[in-house]
Amino acid sequence: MYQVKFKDFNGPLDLLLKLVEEKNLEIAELSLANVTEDFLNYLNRQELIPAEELADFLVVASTLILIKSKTLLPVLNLSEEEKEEILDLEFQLKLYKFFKETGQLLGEKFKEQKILFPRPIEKIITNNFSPPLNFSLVQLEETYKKLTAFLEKEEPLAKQKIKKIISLKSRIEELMKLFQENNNYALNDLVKNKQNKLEIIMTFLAVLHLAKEKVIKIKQDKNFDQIWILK
Amino acid sequence: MILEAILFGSPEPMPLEKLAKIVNEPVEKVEANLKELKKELEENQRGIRILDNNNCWLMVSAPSASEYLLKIRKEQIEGDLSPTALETLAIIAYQGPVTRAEINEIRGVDSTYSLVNLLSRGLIERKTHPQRTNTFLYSISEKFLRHLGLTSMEQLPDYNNIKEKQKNLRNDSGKF
Repeated sequence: MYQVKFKDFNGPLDLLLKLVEEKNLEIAELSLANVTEDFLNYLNRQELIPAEELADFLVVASTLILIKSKTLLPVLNLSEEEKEEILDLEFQLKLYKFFKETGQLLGEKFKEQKILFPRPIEKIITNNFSPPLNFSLVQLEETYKKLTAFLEKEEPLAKQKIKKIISLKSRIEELMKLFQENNNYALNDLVKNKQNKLEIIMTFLAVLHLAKEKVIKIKQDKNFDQIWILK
Repeated sequence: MILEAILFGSPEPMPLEKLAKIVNEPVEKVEANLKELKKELEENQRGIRILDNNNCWLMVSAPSASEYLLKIRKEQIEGDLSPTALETLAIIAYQGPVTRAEINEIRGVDSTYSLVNLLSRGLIERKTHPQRTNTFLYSISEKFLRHLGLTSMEQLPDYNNIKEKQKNLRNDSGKF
């Protein structure tokens, strides 16, 4: 009976609008009563609606049920608040419809590509060689030394990094071996030398890596408790 | 005349206050002159126009020159916007500056994703709410207007009638 698919609409108002338009109805109390059933049918197929959006759908549904009851039972006396609620939904839907259509209009206008261009930002050329007045050969040599000294400093840093990467890789391999022997360990027991900060960090990183690869599972019952590593 | 030259010399939007300071004249007078200049360029169908958004003024090419300028200038044209993003954009254009909560209320769903998308495309701007520092106010950008070929907000379809129209929507519903 309803042809609208979940992917075709975005939120309760969009669904409601589609249902009303599908029946070629104007947005009014009576037409809302007309689509109440369709709307509720959607809610019944809850798996179609993401949990976080469900509340939004339920709010609209409750107002729709109110409208429907009013049409079915003309004698029903609605409170001021309930009347307001019905008017609010109608207004909200009309407003939503306006912005949805205006959005489509904007989309078409974007496609026309009537673009207004400002003047381009000028590129300032700064590659001129303008040495200072007190420029000398000695200065040139000093500057050169400073620059090269700076470059040399980089070297040990790079080595340290490589060392870290190697030790992380070997740590992962070591842990894999350990898990062939036994199925669970406390994180504490995996660190052999507890004074060595690098080893603690590497072990922790290795554990995180293996957990990410889903080789192992990490379990902790409560904060600051022993951390268990399971295969 | 001087204002025209200043705008010609500035590739970025010029705040009204800054312009007033440069020419050393009252803001109101400068604004009136700018509007006059803008009108003149439009009425005489000149090749240049003046765009104003959020009290910043910028000299741009005329909309009808777009296809020619596209041959010499590259303007990044990204893929089409989704209906959701367009809806959000329409709300910001007509209701802005507007908060995320207000946008969500109109759409009936959360709009965070659309807002991030529109911000990254530079079509909207946000600034901190003057009264509530934990809230952002969203408004459309000068790029939004330029890509629609508009030189001011008022040129948006029905822009001036919109408040009136909204009131009518209410009236139709029997409110007021």
